[in-house]
Amino acid sequence: MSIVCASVPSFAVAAACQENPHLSDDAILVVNTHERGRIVACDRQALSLGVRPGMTLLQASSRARDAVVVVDDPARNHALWQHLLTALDAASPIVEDAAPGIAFIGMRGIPGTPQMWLARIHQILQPSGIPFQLACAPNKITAQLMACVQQNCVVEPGHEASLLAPLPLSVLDMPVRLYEQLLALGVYTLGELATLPFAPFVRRFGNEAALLHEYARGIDQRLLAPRPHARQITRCIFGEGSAVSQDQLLVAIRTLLIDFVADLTNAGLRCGRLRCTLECEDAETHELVLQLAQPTAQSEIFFDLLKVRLESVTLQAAVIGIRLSAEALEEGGGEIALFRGNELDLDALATTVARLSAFLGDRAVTQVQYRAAHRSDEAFLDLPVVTRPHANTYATATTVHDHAQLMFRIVSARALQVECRNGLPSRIEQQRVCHLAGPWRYEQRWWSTHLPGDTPYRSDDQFDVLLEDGALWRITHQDQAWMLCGIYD
Amino acid sequence: MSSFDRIQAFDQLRARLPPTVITAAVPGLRSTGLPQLDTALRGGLLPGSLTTIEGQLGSGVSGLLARLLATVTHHDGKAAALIEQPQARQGRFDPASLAAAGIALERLFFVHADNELGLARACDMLIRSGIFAAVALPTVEMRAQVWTRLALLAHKHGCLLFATGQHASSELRFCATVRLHCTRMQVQWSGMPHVFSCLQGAHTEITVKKNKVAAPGARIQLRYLHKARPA
Repeated sequence: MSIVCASVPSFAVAAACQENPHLSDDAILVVNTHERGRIVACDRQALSLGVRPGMTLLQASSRARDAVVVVDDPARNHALWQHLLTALDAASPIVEDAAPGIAFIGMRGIPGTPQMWLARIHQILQPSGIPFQLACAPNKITAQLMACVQQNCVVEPGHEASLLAPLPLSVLDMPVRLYEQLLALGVYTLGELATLPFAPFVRRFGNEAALLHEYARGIDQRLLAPRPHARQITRCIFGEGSAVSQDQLLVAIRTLLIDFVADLTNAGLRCGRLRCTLECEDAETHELVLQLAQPTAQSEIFFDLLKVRLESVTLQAAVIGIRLSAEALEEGGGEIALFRGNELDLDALATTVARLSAFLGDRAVTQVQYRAAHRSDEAFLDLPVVTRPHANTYATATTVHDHAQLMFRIVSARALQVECRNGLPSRIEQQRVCHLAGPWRYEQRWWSTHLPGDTPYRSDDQFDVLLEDGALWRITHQDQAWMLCGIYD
Repeated sequence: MSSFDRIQAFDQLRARLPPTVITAAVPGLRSTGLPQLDTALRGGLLPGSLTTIEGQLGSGVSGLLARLLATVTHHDGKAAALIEQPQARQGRFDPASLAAAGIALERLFFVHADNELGLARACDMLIRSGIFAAVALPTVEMRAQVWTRLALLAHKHGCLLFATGQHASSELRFCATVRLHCTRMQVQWSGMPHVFSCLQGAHTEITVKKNKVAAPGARIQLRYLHKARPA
């Protein structure tokens, strides 16, 4: 009986209502975008009218005609949630951020009774205007579920299973397939699930189901994961003269870094992102943000990166102030190079990327990351190299073969002069077509009701052609125009 | 004696040599991952060398480069960098094809440069960093000093430097340790033409035009396979 759950049923709606208090009288729909948006969250009134998250705005509006539509603001929601978590620090040093709108507060060792704890937390959260629901229980799952059932509920140890028994299965987060199977077997409530024999149930539905069975019996062995506390390490120099040359500026930065790194070391922290602000005599301010490959507390690395980054900055006046702020702080030590094996030297990589970015621009160095998508141009994303190289789950060829792979090279689309015979290309750019494969019809996003942004709907025919000079092209025919897509090399 | 006659004379001489002389590998070379190419190069490529891969667009230059980078990133487990000019005529590599070639994408870094100066500076920085086992850039027109400098840097850091393109300038040809030339021989299709046809692959002849560490002149035929690419 030492965990309190503070839960908000729909945090996005609550955050919108907190910003606009007059909204609370009507049904509220929170959408991701105004145009062709989808429902992100809705209040109880909208739910009762049949609106569900994931619906299009059109579908939702047809069910709740008088509902107020609000565009979601994730940044505002995040800031508000962090503010509330910080407020909860006054109740206990152990506060877990489970999800936006769900927090667990560890109360073991805090003086008072559960009722006093709940009253104290209620007092802390009341000024925010967010309608929190609180419950105190011996474990997390019981506290979370009972918070949804009854406000200020206190569950005594040993009574978890009996209190959870009447709740429907849908309160547990489980795969849809498993949920449907259990319903088909006549299991509708947590109580009915708890009565099933554990071993046969796990054999039938797998290890994932074992956890659900434990939850149904009111058993939850998950430990609280306290959120890291925001700490700030900043050092600055102001009013101690001005730096008019690069050498003077670098000396000042190096001096400042000694104190800055001492602060980091004393706190046992490593910095993942360094923010350097330069204030000039002409009131101009330049801000440099250095993303470190791996968090560190070594002044040489900070200095090297700052020096490289300063190569791309042109200052019009003398520097009169420097501020260094550590962000993305982490605890613990770094990995020793001895044990890295064949891994990349991330510090050297960060320095190289910073140097290249300073010379060629911020998006000059990229890395490809794979994500599951239907189209290859959507599956492979060009992402800037940031904290560490992007992990790829794309299955590359793993066996060494004695052959190579034809490379497809994407070229800037250009119009082609094409002569056709029977509707098929016979000459391209004055060259005879020796072989032709296709057409293959491609319809962009035929499965989707709308395209992102203002992208027009596209449907085209594609061909692979071999020309008499040996060139192997992929061309496309769209709206009576022939375009070059790419080259096989 | 014309260059063609000279090549033929060398070929005839090579044919008369005992096989043990031909296949003797030069120590210290790094395998390319392609057994035929290793044989043609007498063991592989020298770490810290500058290699040019020349050939018309479509002759298999990119495919060969990707195969070599796959050996570096996947087999050797090291990092590689690919310097590209996205606006150039040859375009940019398709990531799906690179992945199909066996390149470990998490170890491959793309650098986009717009002009020759950017290419040279980027190449310089990448080699100097010492973390890339291979760096590839297009064969652009640059002064002899630039290529000399890049070749020396590559040699100092043990980095394989590849220059790929249709034509290598005389300065680049001079600095190169190995010069490979690709010529497309045949394209393979499956099925009847038109809608039932599909690109299967190609054959390319690779000629070792220059090799500072072993005898040049060897020719091999390399098979290129095509993995169907979604639109």
